[in-house]
Amino acid sequence: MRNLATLLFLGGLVFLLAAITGTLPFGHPPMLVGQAIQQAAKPEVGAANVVTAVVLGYRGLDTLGELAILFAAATAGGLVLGGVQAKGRNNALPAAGFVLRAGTDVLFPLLLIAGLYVVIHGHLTPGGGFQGGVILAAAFFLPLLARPSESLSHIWLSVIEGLAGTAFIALGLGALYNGDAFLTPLFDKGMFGELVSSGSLPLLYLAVGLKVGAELSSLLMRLAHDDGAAS
Amino acid sequence: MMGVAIIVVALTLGAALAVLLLENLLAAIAAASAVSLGVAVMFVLLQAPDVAMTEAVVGAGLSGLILALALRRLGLARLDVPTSGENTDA
Amino acid sequence: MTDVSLAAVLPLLGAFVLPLTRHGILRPLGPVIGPILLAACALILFAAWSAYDVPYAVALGSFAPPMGITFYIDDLALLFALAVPLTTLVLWPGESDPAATGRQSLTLLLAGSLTGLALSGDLFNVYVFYELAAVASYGLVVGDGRSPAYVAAFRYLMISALGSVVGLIGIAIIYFKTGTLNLADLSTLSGELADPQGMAAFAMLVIGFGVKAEAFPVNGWVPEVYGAVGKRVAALLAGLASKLAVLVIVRILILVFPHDETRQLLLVLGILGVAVGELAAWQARDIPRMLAWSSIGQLGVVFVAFSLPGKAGVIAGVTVAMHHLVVKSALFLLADRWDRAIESLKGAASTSRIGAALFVLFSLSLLGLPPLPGFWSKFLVLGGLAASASPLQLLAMGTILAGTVIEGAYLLRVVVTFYARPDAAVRVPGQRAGNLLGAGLFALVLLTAAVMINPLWQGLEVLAERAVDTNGYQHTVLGDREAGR
Repeated sequence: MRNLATLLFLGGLVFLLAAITGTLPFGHPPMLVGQAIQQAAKPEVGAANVVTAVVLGYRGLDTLGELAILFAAATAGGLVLGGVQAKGRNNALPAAGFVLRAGTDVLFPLLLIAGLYVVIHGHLTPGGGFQGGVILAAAFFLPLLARPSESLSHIWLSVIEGLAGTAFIALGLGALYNGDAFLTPLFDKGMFGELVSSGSLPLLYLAVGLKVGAELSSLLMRLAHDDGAAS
Repeated sequence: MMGVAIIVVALTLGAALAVLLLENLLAAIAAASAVSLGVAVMFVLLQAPDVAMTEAVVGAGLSGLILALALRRLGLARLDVPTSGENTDA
Repeated sequence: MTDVSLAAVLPLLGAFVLPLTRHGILRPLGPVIGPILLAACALILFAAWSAYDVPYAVALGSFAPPMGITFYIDDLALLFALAVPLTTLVLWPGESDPAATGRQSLTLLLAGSLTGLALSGDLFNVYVFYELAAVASYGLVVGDGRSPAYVAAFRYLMISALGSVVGLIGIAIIYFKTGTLNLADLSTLSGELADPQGMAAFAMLVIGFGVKAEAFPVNGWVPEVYGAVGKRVAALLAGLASKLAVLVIVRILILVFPHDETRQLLLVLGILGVAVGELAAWQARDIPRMLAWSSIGQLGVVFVAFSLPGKAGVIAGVTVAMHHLVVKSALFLLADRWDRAIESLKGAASTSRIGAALFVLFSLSLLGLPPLPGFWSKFLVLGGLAASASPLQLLAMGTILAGTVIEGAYLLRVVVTFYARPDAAVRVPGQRAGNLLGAGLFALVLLTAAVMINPLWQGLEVLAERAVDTNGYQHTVLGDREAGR
């Protein structure tokens, strides 16, 4: 009965959406702002990756909001997980097999480099702080799976997280000091397509990457440990 | 190009169906990750590499990991299919 | 340096920094960071109100408006934005248990996001801030760490996530039809959204933002959550967060969908909210649930008020919303220690005379006893409805009047219980000094408003005039080049 009701509801929703969107001109949206940004992004922001120009330049405040949402979710997760008391379980993961341990030794440096590359080249190639940050978190989570006894320090992770978040906002506030609006890109735009270009955007993405990485690794570690060892 | 797209869509839909039908929860999570991977390939085909990367990293990687860890916390992460009535908590 | 965007950013900064104060040399800073930053935000907003000529727009990142994100600052935005840090300061969670840092971080995030909701002039930015407010409030609800709160939080999470998806689809439809997200730009294109698809998009936005605004079909989480969580959190969500969500809906209504159909949608939802909320509050057996249902009813009145066309609607709506913000926050504060069935509170007045007296004061204002501001708010709504008496509006009038009668019945029942002869078997707990102080501050605001009704009225007239001036909004944000499109 309940399944039937769910199915009916979903069917209705799909029908409604189909009825609404069916008459829209599919594939030919009016690119009012999109067109303007595509033309203006190169001279105004100077990032080779237009997506980054939008994410950190035109819609920088949204990115700060997303960072804050992730932070809120991690904090809420911490409140829930920290509150659950151990019920006599062993609090570490079971010991890992040979394949996992050997694989971790090979993959850890590779993941680290891949993550950092994606973060640092966010303004030039696809990717950026969020994606790279997740890769970094995965890199630091692997050793935890392979060798449960040696874990990262929660204090250091929260320090990195807090400092990275502060750095993002500080870069935004720096523009206020110059008399511009919040989050105006700082510094010279540099040569288009160079690693050091498009002003403060790479720094912003570095802050995003570190914050996301530290936040997610600490969340994964809390999840992996069964109890108060995480709090 | 079109052929690749059709294959990817078929695989994605198959994986999505598998999520619903699989009895084993860990396997269902793996299938859910496969759905995300298929969607990521679709994004690449539609020339949105940034979105594809996010989908692959978050959808296929991270969310699967978090779901699996949550299952483990709940004591439901086991490879054999639990029969009904069996107490699953360790 | 007193840029108004700081008011939305500083709380976020505080939230990021707070976890650092858990260890090491920063430890003594921990308890004071939040209140100091909130006070700074209030000062910044106050300075922005007095020092500059409103309305004006801030282009964040210095990118020209339709491309970048803009903040639009007028009296309406500043009034609601100023209410955020002030109310949060009164309701600040000042405990010092290990989880307190987390709760304080989340409270700061909530304050920052709500300020952002008041100031933002960009549809997607509004959505981001709304999501932030939603996630922060899930955290605050589970932050209590009691199992009823977990269950309530889970239901809240489900309803809110569904609402967010629906709202996001609405935004997507709007973007797909117009190609822009800037509210000023959308307002110049509102003609393109005056078709069934546009109306559907508006309905979806109302459902999406309505989850927090406790709008009729998506408010199932309200009594459960407010019953289960700490009453300071309930006061924040019922008093403050719901008002900011209403403000977002009203901004979209005025700027982008100024049609009769959209107003009627709000009117119908409002009528249903009043009817359901007041009837359920009458049935409720414990104080928090009664207040929760009554808050749904009051937000129904807010929706009815904002559905009135033109200046009258804004004046009535702002009055009802602000009145409810003050009164319901204070009532939830008083319910903190009286968090139980109504019958078991017999003789509460003898344990806490001040608490009971404040409860009576707020109840009377909620009912609309003449010298108190509650009277003016109801008077404005009913007057507005009578002025344009269509059948639906007469129905709304009848519902609100009937709702007031029911409201009187259940509030007086509580008051009578308070002043009844105490039951020897049951000991009613007294009020905590901090909660009494908070409620006293709210009472002070209420009484000041009652005395200064004349200057407030003049201020509201100006506020409403600027709020409904869509041409002014377009000019302020976009400059002269776009206004004729």
